[in-house]
Amino acid sequence: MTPDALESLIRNSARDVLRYFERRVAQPADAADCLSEVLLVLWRDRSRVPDDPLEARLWMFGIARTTLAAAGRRSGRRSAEVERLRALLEATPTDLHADSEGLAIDVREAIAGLPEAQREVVQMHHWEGLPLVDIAAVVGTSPSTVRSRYAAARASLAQALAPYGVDV
Amino acid sequence: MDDRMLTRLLDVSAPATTDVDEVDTAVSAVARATRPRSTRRTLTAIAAGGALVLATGTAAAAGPQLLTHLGWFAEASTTQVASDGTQCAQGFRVAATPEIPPSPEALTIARDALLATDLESIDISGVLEWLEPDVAAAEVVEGEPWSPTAASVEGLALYIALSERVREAVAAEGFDPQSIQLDAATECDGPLTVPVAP
Repeated sequence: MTPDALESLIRNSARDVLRYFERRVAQPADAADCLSEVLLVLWRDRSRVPDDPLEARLWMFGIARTTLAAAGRRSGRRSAEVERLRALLEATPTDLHADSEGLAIDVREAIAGLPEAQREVVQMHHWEGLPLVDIAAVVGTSPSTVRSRYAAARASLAQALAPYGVDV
Repeated sequence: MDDRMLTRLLDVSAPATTDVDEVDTAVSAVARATRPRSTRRTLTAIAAGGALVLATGTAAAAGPQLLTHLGWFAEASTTQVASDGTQCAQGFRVAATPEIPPSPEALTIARDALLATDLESIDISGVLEWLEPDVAAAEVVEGEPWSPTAASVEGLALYIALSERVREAVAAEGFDPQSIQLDAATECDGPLTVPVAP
């Protein structure tokens, strides 16, 4: 991928990747480190980034996925820019939806109780809005596998959330 | 409550994120700071996943167990003549990244991939092409350990191509390729730095 195309990819997707990390890391500031790591990998491996913009975006999420596994365990010197983003993420209160937060917490706990492979599909589909076929590309498996994981996850969640009136 | 209600519950369960304009600005700044602007910056990015050390001196013929000038034995080595005629011995070894300890299986896969690679015939043309803009823009800085001579650029290209091959092998088996790094030591019989005019 050319440097210009890679810059365009980063411009269009970096914010979404930061949100991906924010929703998953224990400490909000760690999302800044994770994003920085993804960008370094993109530049280092830019000859391997697909030319197609959609494929490249999914490739970027794939890098984010592997980076997440090491979140909070990285060490080393941070750039001033990353420190600035960390400080912002730490200091800025997130927009908590007061009306639904209690319910949202219960739903997140139900999702957290799913097997990891199912949980990942549910989160990417409903939190990042990725279609199931795109999730298959990100996690490196077939669309049919992702569809069956999603169906199984929905069945379990419907059962877990029955007290909220979800039909089982 | 029906299936649509379940979908709605899942949609609104997404944890809140920091959606203020200042974050957009800060993300743009991180993106700018991460972009390599020259070969030296490219090397910085590469160094996040490995170590490449070059040295001048007499290039010994590389044997199967080349003792590098860094004091470690290479797991794979080669002696090559660069396009400017400089002869260089290069040694490589697989190592764990300090940040992400790899599994023993990942290390074994990486070593197998390194040993299975024919260092004399690995194609580095794509990497050389990729490096070209950075090499053209590289500044020669007195005292810098790396300068864009043919030998050093081709040595760097071999290192990058080999790193990619090893990491791809690790990823193909389902392990985190970022948990592996490739260390390299290069010794050439010619100058690796461009003379700087007084």
